[in-house]
Amino acid sequence: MQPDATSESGAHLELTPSGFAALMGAAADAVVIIDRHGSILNFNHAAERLFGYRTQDVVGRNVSLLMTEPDRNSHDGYLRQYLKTGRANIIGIGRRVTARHADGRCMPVEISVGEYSDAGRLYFVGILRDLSERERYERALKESEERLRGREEELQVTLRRAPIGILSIDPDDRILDANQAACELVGYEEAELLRIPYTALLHPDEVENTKLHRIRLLGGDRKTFVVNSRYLHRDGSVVHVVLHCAIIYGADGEPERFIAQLVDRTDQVRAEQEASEARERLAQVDRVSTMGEMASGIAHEINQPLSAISSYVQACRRRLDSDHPDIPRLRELLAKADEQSLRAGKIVERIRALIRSQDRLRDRARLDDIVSDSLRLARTDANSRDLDLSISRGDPGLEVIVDSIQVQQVILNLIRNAIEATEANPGHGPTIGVGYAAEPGRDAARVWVRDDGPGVPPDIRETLFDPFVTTKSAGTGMGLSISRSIVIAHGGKLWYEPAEPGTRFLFTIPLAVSSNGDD
Amino acid sequence: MTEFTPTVHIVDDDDAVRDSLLELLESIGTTAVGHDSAEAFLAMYDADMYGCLVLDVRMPGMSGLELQQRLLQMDARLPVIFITGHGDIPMAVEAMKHGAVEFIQKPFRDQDLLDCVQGALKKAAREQQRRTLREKVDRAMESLTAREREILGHIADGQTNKRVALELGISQRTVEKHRASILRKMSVRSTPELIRLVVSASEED
Repeated sequence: MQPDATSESGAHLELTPSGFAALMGAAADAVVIIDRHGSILNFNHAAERLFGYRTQDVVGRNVSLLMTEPDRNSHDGYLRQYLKTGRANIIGIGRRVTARHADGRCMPVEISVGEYSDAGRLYFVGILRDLSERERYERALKESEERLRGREEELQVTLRRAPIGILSIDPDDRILDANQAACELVGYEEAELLRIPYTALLHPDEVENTKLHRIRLLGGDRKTFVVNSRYLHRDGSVVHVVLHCAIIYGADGEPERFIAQLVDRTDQVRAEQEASEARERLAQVDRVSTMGEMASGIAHEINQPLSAISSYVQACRRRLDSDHPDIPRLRELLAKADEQSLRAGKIVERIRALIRSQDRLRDRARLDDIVSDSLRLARTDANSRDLDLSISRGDPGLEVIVDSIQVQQVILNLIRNAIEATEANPGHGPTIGVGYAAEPGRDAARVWVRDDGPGVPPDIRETLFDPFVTTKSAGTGMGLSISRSIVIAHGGKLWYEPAEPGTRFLFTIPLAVSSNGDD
Repeated sequence: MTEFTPTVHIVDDDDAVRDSLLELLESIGTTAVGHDSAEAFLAMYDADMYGCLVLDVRMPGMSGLELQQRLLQMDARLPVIFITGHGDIPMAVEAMKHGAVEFIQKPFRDQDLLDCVQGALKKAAREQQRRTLREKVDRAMESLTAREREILGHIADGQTNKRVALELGISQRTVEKHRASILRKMSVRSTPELIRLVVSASEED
């Protein structure tokens, strides 16, 4: 030990024996001084406290007493080696060793060893500090760190394995984190998601909405929001979610990121769609049963000509049985019967068309053919009348993809209505104009039926297209309602305009995309 | 006593059905008239109509059943035959309850209809006879004096001249004179004939 300590006055302090004793006694660390053989010469209070020995019990004994194996047996060897070679393992170096307490237990201590010579003799001084507390503390710290790490891992696992999708998104739309459920929801790997901007996952129709919600969050109006939203799966399918979104602020008070929780509701939406389809099917059944009622009505209708035919034929037979049958009269009766059988045939044809129309598929067809066929049917339908039915043709190449029978039914229905509307005209029969043309500037055609009747009565203009509205004593009021349904189902619309004179009913129908060629 | 020819009235809104029925009835020599609605028939109805009605149940406007009800309210006695396209049992029951003669389903055998029409016309003829008789009896009764009507009541009860004389406190001879006057006024030759006439004239169908 170099006596280099200086007093306030700058004078050298020579350490007196009492000064040394005070120094030793006041030292917080244990100080043990041994001679070159390892015998303990000095053992201060702190050492007594540390090792549980009293000074008088250890002075003169070998310092290995205070050590544990392997140092305990080797210490004398260390000393000899040092004295012989000057190579020390410990001198000048603070290191952690295990010391032995009087009661036999081991304890961690930090030791630093110095040496000095006095009157030609070499001494070693060891300063030891108990590490038990510190190690306990360190262990506790480590354990708590481990616990914390465990907790964090659990939290990570929780987030990662959470059954709802969780995305962390920064204000620049970068995805910072995505859990498994989120990845599965949109069909991407996590690594891929981290490279895709968040908005790229959104259904195109949701982009604007999402922007608005984000602006609201950033504006501080709200901290969270919940909305129904849609994403696009990698395979292109639509993913319906309930989106819970929260904004997270950083320590600087600036928005740091958004947490988006996505609860998949695609199944629910699909179930709703299925329910709505089921309702649709039910409505279809309803329509079919209405059809059934119509069919029963038609069956009633067909009884009329059959019964008339039967009566005419029987009248013929009875006249034939008489002595002088009136041949012209017989011929007249047979003509009447014949007329009624045609009427019955037409009713049957109508039933057939009705049934056919229920499960027909749409085909590409020339509008000109459809309109011409309708006119032919209308002429057959009204052959006994003094009917003036004319057609105004547009481009005969116009093609539509339709259920031709249904569209014919619409045209036929409009023509029948027109005939009936015109019947009140005094003096002349119905004058009806049917036509079609391309709609200017649109991929559609229009078809019209014009009459020169008195027009739609004002009191039914509002409800004209509703079911069961009719001006005819024998009408069901279903014609225009069904016609409009058919036109709408084909993507068109049906309406009417007053014409001078009379009324023009019109409907549009989308044109088939030009096939450029082979058909 | 059927001086008038019975007429079959056909009420049906279907032109062909109506016309064919007319033809059928005319082919067996029956007089028939067609009406295209219940309203059209009512417009020309009068209480003296003699014949029967062939009615379509379902017609726009007033239905066949409604027409039947109206005729009942007017105390018209025309027998009614219903024709329907449907086997509508409750409707048939209703019609029969109100005195319809027949209920025929379309299409029908012509003979069935003709039989029904014949039946209905017979019924109409009976009714017509009864009505003629009643009118005749009523007129004759009006020509009787109060005393003669009183004595007729006793005779109709089957009392002898002697018994009537005793009851009324008059001589048998006076009773005989009144009886002879009654027989003359009522255009009958004998007392049993007189009794038959009075009874059948008061009979209800």
